[in-house]
Amino acid sequence: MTGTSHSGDSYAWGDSFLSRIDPRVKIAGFAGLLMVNLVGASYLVSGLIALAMVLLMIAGRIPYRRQLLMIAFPSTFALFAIISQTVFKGGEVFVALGPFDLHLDGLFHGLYLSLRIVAGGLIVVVLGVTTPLNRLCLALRWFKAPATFIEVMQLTYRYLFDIHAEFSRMREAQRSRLGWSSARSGLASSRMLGGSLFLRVYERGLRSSEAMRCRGSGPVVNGALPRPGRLDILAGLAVAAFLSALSLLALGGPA
Amino acid sequence: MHIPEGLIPAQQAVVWYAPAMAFLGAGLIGLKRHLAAIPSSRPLVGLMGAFVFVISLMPIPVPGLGTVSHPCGTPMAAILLGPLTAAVLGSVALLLQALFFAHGGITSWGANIMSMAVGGSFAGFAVFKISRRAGLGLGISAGMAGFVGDLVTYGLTSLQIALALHGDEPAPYVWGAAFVSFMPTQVPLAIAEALFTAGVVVFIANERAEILEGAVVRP
Repeated sequence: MTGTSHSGDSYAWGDSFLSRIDPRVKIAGFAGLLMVNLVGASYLVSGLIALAMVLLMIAGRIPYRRQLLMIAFPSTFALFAIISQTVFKGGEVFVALGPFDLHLDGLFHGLYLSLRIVAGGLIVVVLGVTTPLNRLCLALRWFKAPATFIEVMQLTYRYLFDIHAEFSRMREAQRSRLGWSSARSGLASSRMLGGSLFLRVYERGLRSSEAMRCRGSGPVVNGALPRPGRLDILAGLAVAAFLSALSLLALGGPA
Repeated sequence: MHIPEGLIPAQQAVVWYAPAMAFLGAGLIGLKRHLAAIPSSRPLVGLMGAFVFVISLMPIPVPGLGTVSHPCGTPMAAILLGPLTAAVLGSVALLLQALFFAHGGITSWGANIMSMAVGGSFAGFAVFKISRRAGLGLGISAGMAGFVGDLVTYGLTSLQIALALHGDEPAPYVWGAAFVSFMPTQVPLAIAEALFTAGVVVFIANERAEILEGAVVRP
């Protein structure tokens, strides 16, 4: 499985400068950004992080539709944060809507939270979209993540494609036999689909696992990342400088 | 529903991370031993991880709360592989979803592990075991496990949201409000998860009974 055709990380396999940066640098830098975003408690810090991530996505030419799709989930929560804080957090009441008082302090806190959620979501999007899973796993291994965890991660990822392929084939076959023509037949078909899908993919996995063992393949985690190059050092320095500036802002800047 | 990056304050993120890492560590130790003893069980482990990933990535909008809901898949994984291994699979699925779909987060990973991976797995597994000991059939026991595991997951997620966002209101009040807001979508989803879990487990028992008998990694 190359993961290039219909996988979620097709962009990550491209030749963008973001994809070429060593994943260890990205993980360390983005972990720092996530922490500063969470403890910074400042509009400015979260706003600057969000802006930096948007600029990175534009510079790295990450596909627009992909960006919007991925940011949709955090955005719904951002909206929820604004509404809930405006209702639940006290302070000056600026509007009374029936049983609910809307508070000004709560609105501002909600806006800050929503900015923090969007900034955090964007950091994760940039990391996920620009890093192929195999390089991510090697980097995690370098950071001493347990080998079993990495192996399960790779196995899960591999079986996603087997499930996808079998699911499409079986669902099409069921549809052509009117298996989804009513709610009743749909329920029966979904149970049959779930069970058959499980067994088919399981048996296919057993065969390929057996074949791999016969060929002497060991655990899934193997290989090593190359030594960091000039681009990686530059990226590391840029992130370190950005993090230092944000930390100073968080410590002494406006809330 | 997964809690996104940035929603939970840093202190609460640490509090959720601590038990989550303990469960994950214990699950990984058991799983490592199991994979070393029975290498042929790798396909089942990978497949269940992928199942949990797919099942828990079906977003269904929650009216009023402005967010989405979904089935969990961890109760079924717990029935087939044991609750600790299911917790590991749920954790892996949550990390992949966060990275590739921004569904969940990294600093909220611990909280999401505790609700979906640990809560769903252990509640589902406990209900399955108790039901079987009470003499209930395989399908009914699996269905009840799916139903309860799903609702426990959402109870815990609602608690996490309430603790993070209760503001000046009492946290139990906000918890109740969040849980009730989930009900219109979550009860039908829990019923769907119950039917699906029961259907798949019974199908596997009829077609490949040895998977149910031999594959469970004991906690």
